[in-house]
Amino acid sequence: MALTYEPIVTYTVGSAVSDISFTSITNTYTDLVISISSISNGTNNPTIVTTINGDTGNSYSGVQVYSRSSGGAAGNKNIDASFISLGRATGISGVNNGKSMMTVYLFDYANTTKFKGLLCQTYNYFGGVEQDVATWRSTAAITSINFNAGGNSWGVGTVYTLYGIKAA
Amino acid sequence: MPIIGSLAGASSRGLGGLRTFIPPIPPSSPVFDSISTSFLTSSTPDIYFNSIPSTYQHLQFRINGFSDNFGSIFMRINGDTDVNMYSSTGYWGQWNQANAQVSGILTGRPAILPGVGSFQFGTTYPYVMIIDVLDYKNTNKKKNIRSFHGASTNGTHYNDGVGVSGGNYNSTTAINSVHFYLDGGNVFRANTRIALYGIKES
Repeated sequence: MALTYEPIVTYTVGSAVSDISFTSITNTYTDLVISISSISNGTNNPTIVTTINGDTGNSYSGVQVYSRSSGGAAGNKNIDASFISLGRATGISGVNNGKSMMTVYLFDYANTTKFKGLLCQTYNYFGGVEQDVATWRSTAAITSINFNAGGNSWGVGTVYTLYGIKAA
Repeated sequence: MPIIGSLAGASSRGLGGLRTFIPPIPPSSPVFDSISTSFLTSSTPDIYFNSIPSTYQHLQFRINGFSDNFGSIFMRINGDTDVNMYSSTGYWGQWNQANAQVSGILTGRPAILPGVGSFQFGTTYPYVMIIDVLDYKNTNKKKNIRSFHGASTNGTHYNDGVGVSGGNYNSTTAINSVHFYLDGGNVFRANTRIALYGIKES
């Protein structure tokens, strides 16, 4: 029986990397889900710089809301940005070897007639919890996505998985 | 299973740092099924999911929507229009507000408002939402939903925001139909997709 929600590929980081990329994504599915169970390789927690199909133009916008372990709840927005800001406060831990979790939901990623929307939830023990929304103002099908850890990097043992979901 | 068996799913960047490639092991039977999908090729004011099977433990709706002129989405259960049967609550962040906002308990509406925070379906920018309906067929407890939702319009509309919401249907009746509609007489535009999935318990 065909699966509706299936893992496409999973990787475990063997030595620290600054970029996590998925390329050559097929158009087989309706939605994509990306989970990153990360281990920080530094002491800063920058926003995760996310780009789609290699686009670094001002094609992105987003809103983030987060509740931090210090500083309380806050929000932020980006317009005409050159990347999507994900996990701005909590996507990667500011504590060396600290754990964090991030799940990204991409909707109708292969559709070629509308802009692309995504949701993201992140959490880390030392940082707090966060929800993000973003739009990529392009009607192109998404075939690749890159997550850059800014001034930090993903440490040994970080696991990231790409899943596909098929709608009837 | 596309991609599996090669490294086509990952960039060559950083591959030197990758220690382990773990091929996924397909489960012996699916636990997350696609039940039905509504994908619009023209505008419509209502989207119905009727005769929902009782073979699952939970339901999930995945929504990518547009409307003709900004409308908030409502979720009516089993055709019940009694305003005393529903309540909704949520918190959210919005582009023009520095801090997170909370709603309190919203009542007096003939349906759940799964996108608490005044977020509305727009004409160009996608509104994305995931709704989980927990224990939908259980006849011993009232029904709850949770949703994660948002839209980013590049700052062009107050609709910009992201939030999480909860909703209650004050009935122990099993859920067998769900009706989505927009307020203010707005209609869902073409390209809107609402997909219903069923989640099984082992």
